Amino acid sequence: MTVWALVPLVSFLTYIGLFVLTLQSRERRTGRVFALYLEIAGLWSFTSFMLHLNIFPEQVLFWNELVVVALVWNLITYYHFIRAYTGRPAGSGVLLGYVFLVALAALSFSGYIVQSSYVVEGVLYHDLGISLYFIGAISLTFIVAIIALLIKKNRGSSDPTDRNRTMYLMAGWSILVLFTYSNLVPALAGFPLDHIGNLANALIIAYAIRRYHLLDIKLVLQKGLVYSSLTLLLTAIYLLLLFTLQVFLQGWPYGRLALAAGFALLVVSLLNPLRHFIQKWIDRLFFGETYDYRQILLNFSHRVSNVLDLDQLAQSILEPIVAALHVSRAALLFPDSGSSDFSTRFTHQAAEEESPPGLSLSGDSPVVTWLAGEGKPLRREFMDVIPQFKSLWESERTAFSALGVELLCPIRSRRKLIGILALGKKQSDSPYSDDEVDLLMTMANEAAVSVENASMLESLRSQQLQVQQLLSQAVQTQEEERKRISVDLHDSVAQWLVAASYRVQTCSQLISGNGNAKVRDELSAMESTIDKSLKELRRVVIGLRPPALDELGLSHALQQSLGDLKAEGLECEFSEDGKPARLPPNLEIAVYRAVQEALTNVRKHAGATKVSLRLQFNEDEFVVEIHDNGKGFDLSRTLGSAISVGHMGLLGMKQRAETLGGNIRIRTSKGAGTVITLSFPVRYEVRER
Amino acid sequence: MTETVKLIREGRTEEVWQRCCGFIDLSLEDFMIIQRRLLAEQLQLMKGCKLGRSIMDGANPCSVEEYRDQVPLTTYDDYAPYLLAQRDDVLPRKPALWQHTSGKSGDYPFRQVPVMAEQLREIEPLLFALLFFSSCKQRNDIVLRKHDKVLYGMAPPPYATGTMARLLPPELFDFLPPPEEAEGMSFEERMQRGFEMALSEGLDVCFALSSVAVAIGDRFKQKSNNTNFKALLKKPKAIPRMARGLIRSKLAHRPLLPKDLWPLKGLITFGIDSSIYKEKIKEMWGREPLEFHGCTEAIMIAMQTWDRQGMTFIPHLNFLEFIPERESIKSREDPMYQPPTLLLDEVKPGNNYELVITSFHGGPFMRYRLGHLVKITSLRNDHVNIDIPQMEFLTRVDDQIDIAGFTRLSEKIIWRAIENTGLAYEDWTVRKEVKSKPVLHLYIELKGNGHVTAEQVAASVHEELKRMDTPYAELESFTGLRPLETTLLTEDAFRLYKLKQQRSGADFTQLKPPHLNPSDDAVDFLVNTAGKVAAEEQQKVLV
Repeated sequence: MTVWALVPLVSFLTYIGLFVLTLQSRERRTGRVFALYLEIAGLWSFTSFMLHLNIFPEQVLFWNELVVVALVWNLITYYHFIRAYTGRPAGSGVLLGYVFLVALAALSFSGYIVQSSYVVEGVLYHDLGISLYFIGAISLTFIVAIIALLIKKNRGSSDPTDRNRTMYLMAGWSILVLFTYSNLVPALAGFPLDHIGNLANALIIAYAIRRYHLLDIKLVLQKGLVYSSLTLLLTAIYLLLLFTLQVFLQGWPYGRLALAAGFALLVVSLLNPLRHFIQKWIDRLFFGETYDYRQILLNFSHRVSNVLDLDQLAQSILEPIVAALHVSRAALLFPDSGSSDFSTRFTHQAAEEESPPGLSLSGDSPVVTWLAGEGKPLRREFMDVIPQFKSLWESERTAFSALGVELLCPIRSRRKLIGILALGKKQSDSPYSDDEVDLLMTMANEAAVSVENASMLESLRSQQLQVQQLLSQAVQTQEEERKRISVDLHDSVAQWLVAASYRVQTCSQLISGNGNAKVRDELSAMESTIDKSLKELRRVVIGLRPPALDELGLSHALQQSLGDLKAEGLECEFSEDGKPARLPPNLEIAVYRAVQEALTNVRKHAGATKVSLRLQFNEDEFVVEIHDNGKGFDLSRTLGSAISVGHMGLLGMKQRAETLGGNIRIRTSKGAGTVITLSFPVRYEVRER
Repeated sequence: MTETVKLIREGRTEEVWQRCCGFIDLSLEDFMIIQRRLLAEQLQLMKGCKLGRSIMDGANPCSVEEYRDQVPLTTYDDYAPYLLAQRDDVLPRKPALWQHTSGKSGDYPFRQVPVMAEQLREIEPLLFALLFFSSCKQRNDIVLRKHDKVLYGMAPPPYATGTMARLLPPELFDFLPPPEEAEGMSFEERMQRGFEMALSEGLDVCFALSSVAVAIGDRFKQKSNNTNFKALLKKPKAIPRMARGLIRSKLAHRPLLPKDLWPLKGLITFGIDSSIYKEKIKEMWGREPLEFHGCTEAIMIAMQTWDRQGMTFIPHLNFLEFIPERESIKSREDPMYQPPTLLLDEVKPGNNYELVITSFHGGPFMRYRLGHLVKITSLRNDHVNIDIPQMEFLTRVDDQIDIAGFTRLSEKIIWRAIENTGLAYEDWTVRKEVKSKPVLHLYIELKGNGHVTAEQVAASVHEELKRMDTPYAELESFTGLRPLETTLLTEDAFRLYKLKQQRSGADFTQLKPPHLNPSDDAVDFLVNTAGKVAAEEQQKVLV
């Protein structure tokens, strides 16, 4: 027995194994016809094995006749199988095929097909005469029909798994045809190469049919190509090196074995870099211009791990997706504040056209429930299949159709749905393949943590903004209230006290005679008390809302405040830079309060002898600087303990400044005085002084 | 091409099954989520249309509980002014078509019902579910193939069963006869032609009214001894089938039956009498029929699966409410009484309930009393592993009597038929009774008893009904059924009944038994007790 007889033997044994494997899937027509195909393919291999075995040379002709019949039979049963697979009845094609087969068998066994046949060292030499062309033409018709059916099936299917399965079949069939027709090459004729092809085809079919969830065909082909290219390249390099060794070191007897081993090691060391190079080359071959974007998607996690800005993050997600997968439109949906509903927050589309209205999903939508619960991507077409989606509202269905949503990927963190990646149709109109969906889900999973962090940060910012707005409102309300009280006190109580003082004076003048001295003393004391009350009241009124601030402006009001300090014995300086102007009322009062707070601190705690106040009216900024030569303080400690000890002065200044978009800067150290600088962005107002 | 057809064409079996039959795998919780959510959508639609506002009468329900609390139960009378005039403008959505009931309904010639495109979209997969369930042995087992031969033995459009026929895609199935040929044929011609074609081309699936399926079987029996071989020679393709069938029947020593000719993949029967005919149909057709429950107003309510046990409710066509039987009776005795309802997750196994539906997808009905009494047979189907309560249909409890699925007779039409006979009568009552076959049993007290026999009365009323109601006439012409039976009550039977009721303190409205569907007690009194009492009184007079 020669090695050539082994090929059909292995093929035959494999068919037996496959046949046994398919026993359990005979209930369906496809399974039954496939089993028939395996039987006939096994028969073909067996007859070919017997032919190449050549135990009884006198029977070679008989076995060769059988091989010819089995080969055609094999082709017809495969055609029959493909018709079943594509959901077609056997039809007249199969019937004609079997009629042809019967005719062929009759002719063959009558000696009209194989003219002569003999096997030498496992290689078959035979003459089929003119019938070769006849059989070839008929076979070609079936081959073309099979390819046409598979192409039609592939085009008509929108299910990626189904398309993959069909592509497997096409690949297997191509291999079989290629190997079978290799017999037409004179140098290869007679070798059972067709059985290698047939074996490969059967294995591919079995794999494609039995595995419902297939690996993506492209991925498999890619890997196959990478490793076969790598093997070829390494073998070529090694052979080249050995050839060089042979040529240049001919006649040199020493160390040839060691050199050969060294070359082998060298080749092995090239394995990894070469694999990378080939992988990249093959990837580019498959993905073309989208390769770079795919790399971006694959390296996505590195790029976004530190991004905390939701806008930036959304761009990082959406842009490469649209570019890499040729998607018409991609959007990110996030939960609405304080609700379980999801709304479109970010959209990116391939063409520069007007964006359609964003998608909104209510929290109880089956889509949201499904994405949150299953954590799997959801194809649009599945909404028409999965029974839970029967609860979709018509308006929701219409929205999905109108917006062309094809795929929804959940973004989940700690099993909670935090976002939804919604993708429109691909520009090619083809469905998303399994590897594309896997890629998107990988990306969505990797983005989840960043999205959650960014969402939290955004939510925090939003809350902070709300707090600031509330605070600002509270300050404004406080100032208005103070102003109202101040006006009320000034207009009512102060006037009454003045009136009371006048009346006391009048009473004092009306009382005459020595006997009234005690009464006059009492009246004088009363007048003095009223005066004191009036002074105190004026101080309170000014404190509540310095009239000078409204009437004369900030500079005057602050100079008045400094005047008070001066009265207490401190050396005070006041200066202004730039062109003094009126500031917005809320800014004036905020600055006034902050400076008052600072001056109070100087008076109470600094132990300073000198204080200077400087106002800078810059073009787009207003700066106030309060500088004292006091004992200074430990800033971090003071700020750290401010809340716990209830000293809110500095924090209040900071809060007031920030509320108006300003800044506060405090420079101090023990024994070195304190400089407080307040700066505000500003647009000066033209107001009557 | 619909989504279902597309999936079938692509050979995506599991997805086809999920789309069409997946509802049986819902949990009861999921079922109720679908019910509640679609009701919320329906409420929005109804609030925006005149019909809805008219029914809700100022109520503005926002939840299921508010809906059941605020919106009254309705009958066709509430919709008749709009639906009989086919007023598209008052409906929540523009209808795709109008269908109507067979037979006269109360004061109306029939009940007109609009069907929306969205409803049709949901019905199509359910028709496939019927086909799959009728032919499978387990989940995902789809044995139907493209170009399977289908005989449709149900009423044509504009009846509801006709709407269903329209939805079966002709590109997938070969109808016998083809729809374009069938249009314009009478029901009988259609059946005749269908069976002729089936003899030559085979038959894979049969949709039929249960009474029609039985009638066909009976015809085969009758004709089996006089096969027209001459006619057969004109259809050579039919000869092998006929020969095979005859041999089978001879070997089994019985007349030829449909099962001898066609090994059916699926047999789907419809009609309130389905369960009565079940065994007979199985014997004739060699396959247990698959039943489903529906009607013109609700379209489809529930269907059996491959175990042919209880029917599984459909979650997405109608919102389902259940009036306990006792409450249903109470409300019929006192029309002002609003009975409470239960939802599907509140029903108890073994109990009977009257069905109340609210259409989904823009259909017109709100809390509509179908007048169907159903029994909840169990809360789940352990055999097939379905977690949804199972039901069986018991009877109609409204003012209609269904006759073999062909027609519904109202009190008014029966009354008129009796009047038209010219018979002098005291009073009458009628109900449907099931013996070996369903019959319409008329109990009548004639004036001057003794002049005519019960058979004569039955024949006269039957003739009048045939004259007045075409579907009733078709029932006899096609199935050979003459469903009317009569019992002549003794003189004073109704007077004695009234006396009995007065003595028991019955309300004024309950002094007489109802004309339609009297209770067993009432019939028993009229037939037996009143007879005895009358005889005793006569004895006393003689003494």
